[in-house]
This record gives sequence, C-alpha cells and structure tokens, in this order.
Amino acid sequence: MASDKSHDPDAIAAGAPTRSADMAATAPDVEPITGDVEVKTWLDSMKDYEAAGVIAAIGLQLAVLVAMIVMGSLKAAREFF
Amino acid sequence: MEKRPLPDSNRQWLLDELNLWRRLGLVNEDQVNGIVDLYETPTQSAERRQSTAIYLLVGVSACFVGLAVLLLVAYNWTLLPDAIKLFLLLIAVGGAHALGYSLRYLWDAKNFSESAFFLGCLFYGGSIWLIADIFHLGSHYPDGIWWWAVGVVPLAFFLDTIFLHMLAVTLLAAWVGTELIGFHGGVPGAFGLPRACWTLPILAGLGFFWSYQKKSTSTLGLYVPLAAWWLALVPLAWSGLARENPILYIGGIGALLLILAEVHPEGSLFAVPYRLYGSLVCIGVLTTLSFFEVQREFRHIHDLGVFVGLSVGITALALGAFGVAAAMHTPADDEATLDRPLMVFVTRQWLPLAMAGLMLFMALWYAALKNAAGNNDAFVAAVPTVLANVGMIGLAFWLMMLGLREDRGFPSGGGVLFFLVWSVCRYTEWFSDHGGLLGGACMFFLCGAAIFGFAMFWHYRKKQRETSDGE
Repeated sequence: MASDKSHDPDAIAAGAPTRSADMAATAPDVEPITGDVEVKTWLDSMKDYEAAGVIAAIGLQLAVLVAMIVMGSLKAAREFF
Repeated sequence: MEKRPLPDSNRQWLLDELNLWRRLGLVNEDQVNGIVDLYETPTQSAERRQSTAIYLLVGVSACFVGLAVLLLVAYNWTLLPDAIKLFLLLIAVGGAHALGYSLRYLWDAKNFSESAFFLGCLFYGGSIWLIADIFHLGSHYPDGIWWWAVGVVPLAFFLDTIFLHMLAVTLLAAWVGTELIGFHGGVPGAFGLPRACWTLPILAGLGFFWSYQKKSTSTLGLYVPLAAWWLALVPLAWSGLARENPILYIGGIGALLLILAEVHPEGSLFAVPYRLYGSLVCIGVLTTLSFFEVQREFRHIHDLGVFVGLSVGITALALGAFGVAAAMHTPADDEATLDRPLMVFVTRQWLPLAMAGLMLFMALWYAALKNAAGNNDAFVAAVPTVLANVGMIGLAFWLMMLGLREDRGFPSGGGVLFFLVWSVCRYTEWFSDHGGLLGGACMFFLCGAAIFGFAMFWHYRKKQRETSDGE
C-alpha cells in the first residue's frame, strides 16, 4: 500500500496530489448553496396544502347545508306519511 | 426577499440619518444602498396603501351586494317553490366560494378573493336559517349559530384572513351569549351535562394556537375576549349559580387575564391583548366596587356556598395558571445572571396576584360577616370599599410604571386616565353632598401631588439605574 503523501510538504512541493485535491476529484457533483438557506416550519409546509384545506372547508359548509336538507326532507316525509 | 413596509415619515428620517452616518464614515455607500434596499420604495408604499384601500372598499361592497341579494331574494321568497329556494341557496354559497377560489388560486387576486370568501360565509349563515325555515327545523336556534361558526372557523384558519377570524369570533360570542343567557338545562343525551358551550374552549383554543404559531397579535386580540366572555357566562349554565352577584367572579377573570399577560416575556406583544382586556375588566369592576353603596348590596347573598365557590374557583384557576407558568419558566438571558430568576418572574406578577387576592378576600369577607353584620353594617362594607379604592390606585400606578418601563404610551396614558377617573368618582361620592368645592380642591391637589411624586420617583430611579449601568 502506497504511503499517504498528502500531508508531506516536500511531496506536495514535488507535485504529489494532496488529500483535498483527491477529494475534489472524487467528490460527486453537488450544486453549491447560494442565497439564504430557508428553514421551513410545519406552518410553512401547511401553506402547500392551503388550497386543499380551503376546498375541504367549503365542502364542510356545503355538507352541513345538504345534511340539513336531507334531515328536513326526512322530517317532511315522516309528517306526510 | 420581500421588501419591508416603511412609512414616509420614517423613510425621510432613515435617509437623513444614513446621510449623516455616511458623512461620518460609519457606513459606506454599499451598506447604505443595502439598508435602503431592504424597504419598499415610495411607489411601492403608495401601491400598497392603495391596494389596502381597495381591499377595504371591495370588502364593504361585498357586504352591500350580499345585503342587496338577500333583500331581493327575501322580497320574492314566499313566491318561490321550495326546490328552487334550496337550489338558489346552494348555488349562492357554492358560487361565492368558487369565485373566491378562482380569484385566489387561478387569477392571483388574494385581496378580492377574501371578500368573495367572506360573502360566501355570510350566504352560508343565511342559508342555514332559510333551510331551517323551509323545513321548520328551528327547535333550538343557538345550534344554527354554532353550525355557522363551525363552517367559518376552518376557512379562517386556512385563508389567514382577519375578516373571517372576526366573523368566526363574533358568531362564537353570539352563540355563547344566546345559549348561556337564554337557555338552561342539560345537553340532550348527555346525562344531565349542563349546556355550558363545551366546544367553545376547543374552538377558541385552536384560535389561540393558530395566533401564536402565526405570531399574529391582532388575531390573539380577538380570541382573548372570546375566552373571557365564555368564562364570564359559564356559571349561568348552572341555574343555582346564576342568581348570585357575579362581580367578584368577573374581577377574578380580569386578574386571571393580567396574570396571563405577565406570564409572557417582558415587552412581548402577545401580552398586550391579555393586559388590555384584563385591565379593562379590573377597571370596570374596581370602579363599581369603589362606591360604598354598591358594597352594601353584598348584604343580599342568597347562597353562601355558591358566592364563595365562584370566587374560589376563579382564583384557583388564576393561581393554577400562575403555578404552571412559574414551573415552566425558563430565565431569559438577561435574567440568567441574577441569583433568583424565578423571583424576577414573580415580582412582575405582584399586581395581578394582588388583584386575584383582593377579589377572593372580598368574597370571603362578606361570607364570613354575612350573619354578623347587625349594627356593624357600615363597617362591613367600609373595609372592602377602602380596599377597592386602594386596588384602583394600585392598578393605575402599575399601568403607568409598565408604560414607562416598556416605553409605551398607551399603558401610561391608560393609567393616568384611570387615576383621573378614580379622582372624579371620589369627588362625586365624597364631596357632592358635603365638603363642596373646598373638599374637591383639596382632593384634586393631593391627586396632582401624587402624580408629580410618581413622576419624580421614576425620574430619580431612572437616573440611578443609568449611573449604576455606567459604573
């Protein structure tokens, strides 16, 4: 096994590859982080589901009205018969 | 990054100061540009103000359109067949919400969409009553208000709009009021459980949770009075409790709100709604109790157990809230250097705890001396009257101190105003019959001296602190 020359100043001066150069050569391509790193809270994540939540809330209102109509119809039918 | 709003007056001040700092070499040109870039340009500010005005106008116009449609339909309502009526109601609710949804998510017109959703919620409430009317379902009308509120609350949470929160809170408050004041007895099928609006704490609790998560003090300012309103009315659910004079119990609620305000870190804006409503309740209660003739009315206690129980209950709740907050208290960084950080926390609570203690003491005092009054009737009422007056003055100066400490004008001004109210009350009570102008002049002189003394005390204390900080 070849000895590690990455910390040897003489070897580096002679052109031996440094550890950082090795790492850079073998590192996978990662996109650099630019700008502010934004940490998402659960409340921010909730914003992604806002539209679905609004539809569910509207659905609840309509469901209440439909339930009232059904109850009222049953009541009227009971009274009729 | 979204630009921060900046009023024109503040903008001019900032630009002047930045010019000065640049001339002094404190900041360079890039830093100046960076700071200015953080804020809206004058054009953007003007556009924002215009869009707020348009938002309000559209909201008002939505209300008018809603009213016009309701009146138009009401005019022809009896002529329409039931099936058409039901169809129209469902179309009105669904159509208004569909319009709101399209405006918000398809056409990116958020402000207009909120008006459409608000209109949809008004139509939804109207539909509940009209469907109940068509089928003669109106057995217990507060239930209709509850169903209306339950439909509005989720939409308010998802849409993040103050209008819908206001509507939801108004409906819940109306439901609590109609249910607790107008109806007694048990919840059907709940083994005699009284009608105490048990779902209110859950719905209001969601509002509290949402307000803290969103850091919205204005929304919190809606849910705090709602919770206090429920707490004030909940004894009415038990018919035995409804007969007793509730003023000391209501004073206990004010003390509880003040305790909750001081649980927050010093200077926190979340404390403001609790402190505002707590102070208003305590001011109202103490002003009433500060009159000797009002205190004499406590001779007529119907049920001693209920009278004392109410005060003990609300004081226990207040102390429980204080105890839980004290146990969970973690010292802030500036308190960490002190030997007893808990002591600092407790010191801030001296007045709220004193208020809770005062209300409980008065209840126990009257309970203890109920049968022993006789010829000592005047003495029995005099002691709580004096204490109520001391409480008024204490609260007034506490508010002044708080305003000075946190450098906010509203509490200070409120404290001074409350002190003036106290002096006017005492003038009318003490000197309207006897003493006349001379007595009044003497009292107002003492009031002026007290305020001046307080200002001087604060001035010297501030100087002392500045000196000790300098050393």
